[in-house]
Amino acid sequence: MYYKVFKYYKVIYVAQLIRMDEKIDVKKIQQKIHRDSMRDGVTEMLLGVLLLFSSLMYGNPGFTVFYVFTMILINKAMHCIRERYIHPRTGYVELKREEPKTTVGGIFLYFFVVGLLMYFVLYLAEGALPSSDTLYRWIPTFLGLMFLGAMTYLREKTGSTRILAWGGYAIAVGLIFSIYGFASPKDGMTLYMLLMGISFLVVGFIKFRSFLTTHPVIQEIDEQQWEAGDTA
Amino acid sequence: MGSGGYSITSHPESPAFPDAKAFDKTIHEPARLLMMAHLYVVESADFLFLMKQTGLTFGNLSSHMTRLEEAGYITVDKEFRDKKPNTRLSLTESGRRAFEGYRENMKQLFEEL
Repeated sequence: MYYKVFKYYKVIYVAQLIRMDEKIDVKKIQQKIHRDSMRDGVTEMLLGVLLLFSSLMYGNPGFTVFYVFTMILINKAMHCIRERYIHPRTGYVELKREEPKTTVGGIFLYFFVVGLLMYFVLYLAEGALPSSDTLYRWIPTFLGLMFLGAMTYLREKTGSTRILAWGGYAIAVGLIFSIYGFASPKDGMTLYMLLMGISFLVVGFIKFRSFLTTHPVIQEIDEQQWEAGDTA
Repeated sequence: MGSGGYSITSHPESPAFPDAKAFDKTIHEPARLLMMAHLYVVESADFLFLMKQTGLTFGNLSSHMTRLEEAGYITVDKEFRDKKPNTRLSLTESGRRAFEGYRENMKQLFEEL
């Protein structure tokens, strides 16, 4: 009889342990935290602004000053927006810092490999070393592949496959722009960044608006308020 | 002990039973385990963030926070930001080791089963 009781007790106990083990899947927790931190649309908006200014700078070098200012202020702007609108709704979290050497090294390696592969493919297609006009023409596709790389990295970080849609979109637009061939080879690149910038800005803004309406401001209460029953 | 003279874990035919003593009692509680797991993957987080992520209530989180702080597994910094109370939590080195040990025990246990 005791043995039977023991067997049932063991099943329950093991089931409980399995449930607890699932709760401490640190990879899943990390991915969820990253996913949640990207729900606000702020990253997309700021990336959109950066791409817009980049396209303006390529279109008209007079915008270089604005571009430099944007680059300097972008981190500050991101911090301010998060501090004012996001943290009161989600709480504050400081994510783990990654080894900068590994991240930058990975980006450069990817950049180099993709660039080399594209150069090789163009060489095979043209039967000669590609001219600067050809290289400019295919820059949108190259940028699309860069976006795809970035989105694949974010897919791994967040566990969300939806994010790859941005990569697909970036490559599709890049290919269309490269195949179409603009009068001036530089136009393709400028327009590509303009379109991508606007796309990121619009999607980011929609996400941001929706985030503000779906996430009400929450406030921490102190123990006295808690004891007094003020849980608002 | 039962009438047969065996305790629930000492029956001669009983298969190996997971040893509950191997688990750190402070961590071996669902709410605290959840808190530790969340703090393990970040540098630090505030009270509201943990409340949102774990789904625990203020009172629940507060009492478990005190327990973990007393065990020396987390550090708690309380301050006022814009005249509002803000509590920042982070895992200590000993908390990190305890959590890793707990996961290791759990892994071993599942391998033995």
